[in-house]
Amino acid sequence: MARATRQTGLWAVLGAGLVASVQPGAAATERPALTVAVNELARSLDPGENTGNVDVRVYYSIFDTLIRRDFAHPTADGGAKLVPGLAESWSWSTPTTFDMKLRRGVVCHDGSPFNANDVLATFSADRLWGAKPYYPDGRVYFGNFTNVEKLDDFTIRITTAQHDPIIEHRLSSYMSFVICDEAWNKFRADGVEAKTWMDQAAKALRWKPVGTGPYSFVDYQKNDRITLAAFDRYFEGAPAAKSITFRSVPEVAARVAGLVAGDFDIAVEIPPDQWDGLKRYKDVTLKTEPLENSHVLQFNTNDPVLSDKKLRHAMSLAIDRKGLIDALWKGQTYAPNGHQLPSFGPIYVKENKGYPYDPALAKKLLAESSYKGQEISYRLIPNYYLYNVEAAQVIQEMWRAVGINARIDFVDSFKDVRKPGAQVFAWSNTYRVPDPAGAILTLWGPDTDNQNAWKYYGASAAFNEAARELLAETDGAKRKAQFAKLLVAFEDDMPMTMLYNPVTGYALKKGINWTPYSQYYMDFRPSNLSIGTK
Amino acid sequence: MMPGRHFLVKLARGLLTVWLIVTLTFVALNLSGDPIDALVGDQASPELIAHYREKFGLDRPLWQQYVSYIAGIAQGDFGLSLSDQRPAVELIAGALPHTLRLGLTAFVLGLILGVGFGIVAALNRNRPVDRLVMSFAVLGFSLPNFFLGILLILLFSLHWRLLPSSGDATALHLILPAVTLGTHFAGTFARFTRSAMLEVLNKQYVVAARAKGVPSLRRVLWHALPNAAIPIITIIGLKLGDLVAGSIIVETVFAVPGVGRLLVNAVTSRDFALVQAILIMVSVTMILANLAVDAIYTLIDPRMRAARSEN
Repeated sequence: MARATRQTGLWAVLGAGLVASVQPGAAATERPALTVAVNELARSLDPGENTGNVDVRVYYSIFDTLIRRDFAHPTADGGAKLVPGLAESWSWSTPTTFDMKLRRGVVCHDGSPFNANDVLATFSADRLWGAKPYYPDGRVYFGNFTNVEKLDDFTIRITTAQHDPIIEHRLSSYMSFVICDEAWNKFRADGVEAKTWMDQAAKALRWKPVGTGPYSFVDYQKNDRITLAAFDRYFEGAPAAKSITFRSVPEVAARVAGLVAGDFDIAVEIPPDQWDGLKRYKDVTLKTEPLENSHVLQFNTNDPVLSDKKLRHAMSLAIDRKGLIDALWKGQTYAPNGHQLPSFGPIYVKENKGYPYDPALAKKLLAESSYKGQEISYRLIPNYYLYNVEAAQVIQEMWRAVGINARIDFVDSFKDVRKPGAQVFAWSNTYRVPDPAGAILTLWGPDTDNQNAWKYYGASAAFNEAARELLAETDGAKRKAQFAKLLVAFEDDMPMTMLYNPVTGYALKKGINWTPYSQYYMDFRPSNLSIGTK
Repeated sequence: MMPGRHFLVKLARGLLTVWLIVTLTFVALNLSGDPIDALVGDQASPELIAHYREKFGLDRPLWQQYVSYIAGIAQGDFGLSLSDQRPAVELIAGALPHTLRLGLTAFVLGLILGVGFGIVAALNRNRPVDRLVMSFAVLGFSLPNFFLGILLILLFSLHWRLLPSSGDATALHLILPAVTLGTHFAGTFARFTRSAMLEVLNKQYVVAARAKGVPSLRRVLWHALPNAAIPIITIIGLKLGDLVAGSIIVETVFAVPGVGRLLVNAVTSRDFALVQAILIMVSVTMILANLAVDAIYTLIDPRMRAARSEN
């Protein structure tokens, strides 16, 4: 009996040891730490303040959105697929009332339970969408909101001025990362202006963010590193890496060397001229991804020379985009067929012809135009966009071949780009939301700076009418027809021509199973990162 | 002139230099572009730009910004970094240890190698050893740091995988950047040491020492080197003051989070307060280094002491 008891005790100890070994805490110590070499660290970890590529790649691991875009699994027609994030389900209860049921059991990094108060803190009028919100960019996404209220601890109601057919996309995009209520609202004080206490909150939290994401913030050293630790209470499960350190390595040669030498696990922003060299290393994988951003050339339609539409069309037709893509981007990207992307899904106009290359037609139109060989200024900020100088030099020659005389003017800032005298200039257009309402209409539509403040686009009545109809329309099929009409009018107006979507390259050590997305987000959630044998 | 007064004059000149640098930097940065433009990106609306200009006080007339900046400096307030929202001095204090660790290591390396090789070259004037040493010296100071740095990364990190390519976490991490920066220092010191030594090696007191049978090592170290020290100390002083400015490229190539990189990023983002604070620090370092060199001259050269006393 005594022996049996001793044996039972021994098995109990062994069993307890086994159980302990599969506990998350034990697993956490065995997981590898991941080091990501980045060209530049995030400027802050405040998701309202900065939405640049260097910022979002870091805080995508710290914060969640209510609705998430599943970049890895687009819809059957190539559209952006939306999946539950912090919201489990959502629906329109009236054309202007959008209700969301929130996920239960989610925990903030400060240990507080996630609920409707966190959503209210994030989407408050003072913070994002009121007349003069703390983060002015919020109005670009949520300016249509008229109220955000909680129906209960796990139900949120958003009221809009008019029906917004893409509200789900807006709630999954930049500016919609959910912050945790307690960390933010503890700065609120009765009688104190929102701007004042939000200044204090933003200052305190910009390097001490509190979200619900798979990694929590640990440490920031300027120009050196940002360190995040696995948040094992994450609602999707424990992350695959015990920590992620973003190391600032501005030189691409040093990023590549560090990766090959084993100092880093992932290196970002690997330009095309490094791709062939990387193939020599068997323990390194290169992944490239065209971005949801287009490099374009803008034409000032109000300029005395460029006001001739035939000249603008000739300039567009003279550009061999495939030649540019092959030479600069090793053929790894594409020129969108119009101001749209396949991720627009149901509204994508596949048959739209976009911006063709036809030098013979360019010469014909040029001959018919009022252009008399005047020198046309082509402004750009050198290296603001990757390969923009090289592209300008090639395009200058393409134009010369059809009889257009362009002069490249290097300037220092966008303020200088837009100074009087602007004729042609390099610009990029980001598709903030995979829909014309979050892309062409926010950059070129009737109420945009292009038409009103800068006055570079004197739009035709056809374009502006189509734009207004599209903005007011809520029926999916009708929206697609109106968008097709809008694209035709836009391409006929020719206030810009499309060049291509740039590509970003990531180099990974073998064994790191991770997929880049068409936006700069780096997703290290359990669903997109696993680490095998290095 | 009394030594105390001499230094007061030097100090006043130094302060004037700092004020001129601050003013010129202020003007140059404001002429070169708008920091908000760099902060908000290419698709920002005029309203957003106006919002940030107001937030950071950049909507005020330039003279008001200048006066409040100078007043701030007088009270020890160098302003907030635009991009980081923290005091510029705090950011510099965080980065300075990295720069000093790298800079001083490289400096000592450059000093030992440069002075050593300079003496060897002078003692072997016009012989193959002299030509070899001087060829390396010329190569050392004329090779751009970014080229040598990337070359070393490609060889030692990428090809042979012997040393880490970036950062300064351990002594191993310091080797490549210190060699890159140290090579430049060594090249400069070697050339100056050689020419200074050549001047004194043929002086009568060195010949006399040789005739007396003083051993050659003692002759070089005790009789020749101290007398050749004035030009060598001058260049050491200049280079010591140049530590921060000299490390800009090396820190960027090797991803060392020092003051040099802080300056590069601040200039790129037109972070006025930070650029100005760093330039003040660099100019003050330069001025102090010059004052120190001046003091050392007086200590090591009795002729200067005598001349100043007479004046």
